[in-house]
Amino acid sequence: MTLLATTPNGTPHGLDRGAEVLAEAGAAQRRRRRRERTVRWAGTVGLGAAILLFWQFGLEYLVNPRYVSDPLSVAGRMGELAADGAILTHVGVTLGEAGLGFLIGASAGLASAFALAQTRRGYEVFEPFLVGFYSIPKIALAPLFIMWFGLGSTPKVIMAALLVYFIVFVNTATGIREVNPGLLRVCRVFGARRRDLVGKVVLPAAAPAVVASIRITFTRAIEGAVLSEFVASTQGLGYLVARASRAFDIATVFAGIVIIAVVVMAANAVLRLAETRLLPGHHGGRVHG
Amino acid sequence: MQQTTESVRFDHVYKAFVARGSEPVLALRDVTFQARPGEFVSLVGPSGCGKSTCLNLLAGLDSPSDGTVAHDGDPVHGVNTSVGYITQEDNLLPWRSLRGNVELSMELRGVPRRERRDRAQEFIELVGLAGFEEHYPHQLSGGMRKRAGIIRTLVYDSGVVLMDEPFGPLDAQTRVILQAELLRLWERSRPTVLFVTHDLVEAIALSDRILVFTGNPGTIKRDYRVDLPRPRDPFHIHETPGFGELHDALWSDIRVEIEHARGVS
Repeated sequence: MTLLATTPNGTPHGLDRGAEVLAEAGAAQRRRRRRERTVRWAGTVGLGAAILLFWQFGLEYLVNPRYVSDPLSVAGRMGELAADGAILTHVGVTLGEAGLGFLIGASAGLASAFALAQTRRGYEVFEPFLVGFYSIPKIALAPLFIMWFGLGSTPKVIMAALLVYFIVFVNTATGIREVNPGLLRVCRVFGARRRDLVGKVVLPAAAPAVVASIRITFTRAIEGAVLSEFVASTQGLGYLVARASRAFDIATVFAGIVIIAVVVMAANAVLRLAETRLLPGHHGGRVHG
Repeated sequence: MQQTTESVRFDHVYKAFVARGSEPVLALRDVTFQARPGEFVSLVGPSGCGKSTCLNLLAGLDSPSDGTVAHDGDPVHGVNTSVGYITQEDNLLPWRSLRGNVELSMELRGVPRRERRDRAQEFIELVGLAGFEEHYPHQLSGGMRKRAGIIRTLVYDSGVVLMDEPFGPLDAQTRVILQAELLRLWERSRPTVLFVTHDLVEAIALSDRILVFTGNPGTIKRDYRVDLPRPRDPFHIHETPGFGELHDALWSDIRVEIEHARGVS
């Protein structure tokens, strides 16, 4: 059989427009990206401005203006709080309680998940209790903790630790149990002992879920500390907001809320950065929470 | 044939699986075959006929319900770390670089770091992956991951290599290229190979023998000898005299089994 195939006559080499076409496509793509970015920024800034304007001028028609303050007063109040330095003490106290609770809760969660994941039966025995405790709205325990541990920072640390513990525990245990069984089989035939399997397969495989859960739980630790401070305390951001709200000092309430939001966002940004540095091969784990 | 010269021996092997909440299922019934050292044996047959189970039995990841599975004359008890085991999924560790993955098997066997590094490099270059040593699996193509999975097993020179549809998920062109590379690697040290596949052309191109399994429960229906000359070229295997007859014979054997399996289920 003869081959029926032809070679199409291309453009002579000097007239090939390949490079130009590529350059044009690249430039068009850059223009499109710039335009998209501009639109997105304009949208975000515009929406933010609209909300602030509505709060400043429109909200008083909906709710009693005495209880919502306005952006300018809140900004002024934040300036005063920053100026007298007391705010730093409150931020420090709350962050300290949250940080300590976070460390305790996260390490306890990791340790118990690893202990239980060693045996499937062990996990099955504990599971109903875990589900039960997990179902309790932890904040309902805050008044008890205060009765048990007093007005100091202990009940706040415990509350923060408790909120962190369950999320880290569940995610770590799931991460360990979901390790690809194929990897384990192949490594066993390669001659891996139990110690090798845990150290070289299970731990690294569970790491993304564990690290992601640790990252998101710092927010929960701050939440636990602030909520406990609400119930009874003598310092901290929760105390600041609670005291102001009892005094109908609405500008301070909002100022406190904004400060809490800023603290949480800053903490998240730091932890996210740490996560990408720690686990370069991964693209963030899934989190159950 | 004397017992001691056999690399692999299956002696009246039965395997029953008991799944929770259902009746026990017989996966293998009276499976008997031997493979000589250096023989390349393919296992073909309908899906679910127990071909992979045979590999798992020899790897010691499962034990036979009855009968004996022996490797180099010794019955297999517990995980058999003297075989190489290559699965359909590449099963690379995603957090290790290509080099780290290729070194893994030697690391687990306690090969000194220096030797590990050199051997890994030799094999990486052998399959054309030089320059990708520090890439992570998600940065490699399917064909490259497959090569990595194969060399990390061949790198420690086991006498028997088990391959469970290793080229299954690849595109047609990449498959043929990898078949040629596998043959080239195999010729170097000539391990015994048990190779599970659904692709009859692949089985003919690679094997010395082809075992055709029936489905449900799996038994060996026929044992074909592939007498095509070596070294073989998978790109031109269809043109080799004798290929057509063998392919037709295999296909008519298998087709009955596939139709039968469909009728039963």
